[in-house]
Amino acid sequence: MVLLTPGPFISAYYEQSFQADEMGIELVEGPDLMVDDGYVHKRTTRGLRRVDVVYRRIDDAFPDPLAFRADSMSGVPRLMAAKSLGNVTIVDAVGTGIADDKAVHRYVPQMIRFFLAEEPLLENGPTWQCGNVDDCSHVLDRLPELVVKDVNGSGGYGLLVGPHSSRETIAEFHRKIVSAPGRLIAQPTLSLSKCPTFVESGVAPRHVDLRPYALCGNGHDGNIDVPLVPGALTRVALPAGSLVVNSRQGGGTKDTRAVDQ
Amino acid sequence: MVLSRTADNLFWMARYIERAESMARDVGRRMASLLPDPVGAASEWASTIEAAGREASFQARFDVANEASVIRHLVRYANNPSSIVASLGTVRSNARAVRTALSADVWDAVNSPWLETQALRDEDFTTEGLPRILDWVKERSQRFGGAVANTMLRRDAYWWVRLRTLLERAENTARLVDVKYHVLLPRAEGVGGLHDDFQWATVLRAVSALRAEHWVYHDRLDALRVAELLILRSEMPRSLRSCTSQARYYLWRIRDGSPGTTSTAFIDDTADMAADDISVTPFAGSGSHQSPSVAMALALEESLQRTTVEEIFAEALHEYLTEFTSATNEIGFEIRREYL
Repeated sequence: MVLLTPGPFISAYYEQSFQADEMGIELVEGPDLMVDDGYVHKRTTRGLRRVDVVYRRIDDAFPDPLAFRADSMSGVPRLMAAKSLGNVTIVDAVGTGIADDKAVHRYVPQMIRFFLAEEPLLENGPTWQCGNVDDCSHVLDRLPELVVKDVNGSGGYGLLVGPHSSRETIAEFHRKIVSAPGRLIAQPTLSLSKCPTFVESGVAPRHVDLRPYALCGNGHDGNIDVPLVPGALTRVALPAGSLVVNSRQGGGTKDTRAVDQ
Repeated sequence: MVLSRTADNLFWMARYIERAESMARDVGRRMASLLPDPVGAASEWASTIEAAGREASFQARFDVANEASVIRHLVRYANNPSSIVASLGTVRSNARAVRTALSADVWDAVNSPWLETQALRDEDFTTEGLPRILDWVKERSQRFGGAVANTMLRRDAYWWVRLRTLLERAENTARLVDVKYHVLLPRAEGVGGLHDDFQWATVLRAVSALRAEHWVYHDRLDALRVAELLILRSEMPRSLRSCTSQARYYLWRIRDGSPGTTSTAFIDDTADMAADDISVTPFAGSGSHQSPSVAMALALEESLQRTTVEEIFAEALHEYLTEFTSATNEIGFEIRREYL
């Protein structure tokens, strides 16, 4: 088993090397792997060694230059072919990125009702999809109160936090929504929890959010099983008052443990 | 077994921290011999550049080898990959790419000097400030060696670090002896003069071997003895023979690949001190440790065992050292071909 990283030049590298360390698995970059005869191998000082599981930490478009973006330097040619032969398991399978599409948020309760015929146990954060005409006019009316996000955005880029933004920025997002409504969603500005955090001036309250880890695969009985890992990642926004916790925006992390069910 | 890229990064890391240390030692040697110099200061500074094997890149930037230009080039200049500042950056970026192969102490030993180089200022590179910086580099390099020795698992990553450190050290010692010999003693009748005593003493001091020389020989310095100490004596840790024997030992370990036993772990530790004691392979008879690079290292080691210093001088020291350096280069290429 290996952890596939884009390399030391991205902000999450430390986290990835920490994870690999904790799991006692090898941290590899694309060029360390190769696919031969349908199997994935790593290049070692003692020749090629089989790899059965790849924990993928590179973006959806990059894992295999022959299957996706051809200019990918961080991927492994024919990785997807090995995957379709069933010769390698990719953790964080290619395609799971669909859950990153923020337009999905709006439809999660409907998906639960449709696929499981159940009512959601946890309430969904209210989400308006600007591509929907009713949603859109609602959003445009209340723009200064809302958070607006690009559906393909990640890393805390290109988002509007209405209550913290200038009139100019709000007007700019107004124009964006009008010109390409389908690309944007809006949510109420949530008051994220705060947690004592060590910063330059000492210990101070900073906003945090929780990222649970859900694993999806076949359980022992052969049915699909989705266990939650008994622990999670807490992200913390280091600038005072900020609600943006992403590491690419200078956010930090905190250890998190579930102490009781 | 490690990823080839990991071995490669460890190789560069070990090579450049060793290089930073020997650069500091050699520039320090030059600073220490700032006495009125009958041969002329310029040749001293030129020899420092030459010991570093950097004539071409130096001449492209500077006309004259003097204190200011040599310090700039060998200590500070970021575009000279062998300058101390650039070396510490290379060490750190290679270490960063293989963090999971290093213990926390080793990482800290390469990360903190790099952070410290970011805080250096102009006055640190003056005649007054430089000795402190050079001591600091040596101290940091030795801290690295200590962290490696005291905290790394005795497995591939450790063997790769040690292998490259020793090959680099052997090359640096060879270069140092070579430069002092053929730059400063071009005339046979000059051998043995007072001035030469002084020159050789600075060479020995550069590799922290002046006291060792007194203990081994109880006699006046002379070129023959100094050369023997730095080339052939197995108990001298920076000698060509000692470095070669130890490097060969780690090549064996890499080739064999087994985690080894308590006694091999013990030899891993003591390989530094007693190259002689490891001349017997702990994997005798298996044959699995044979490979072209091991064979080349063994041949080089055996020739160092057979040769006497008188033979080397009779043949010509400079040619001998050039051959040695090209042999270690060849071993380096062969290692690359076999593993990386």
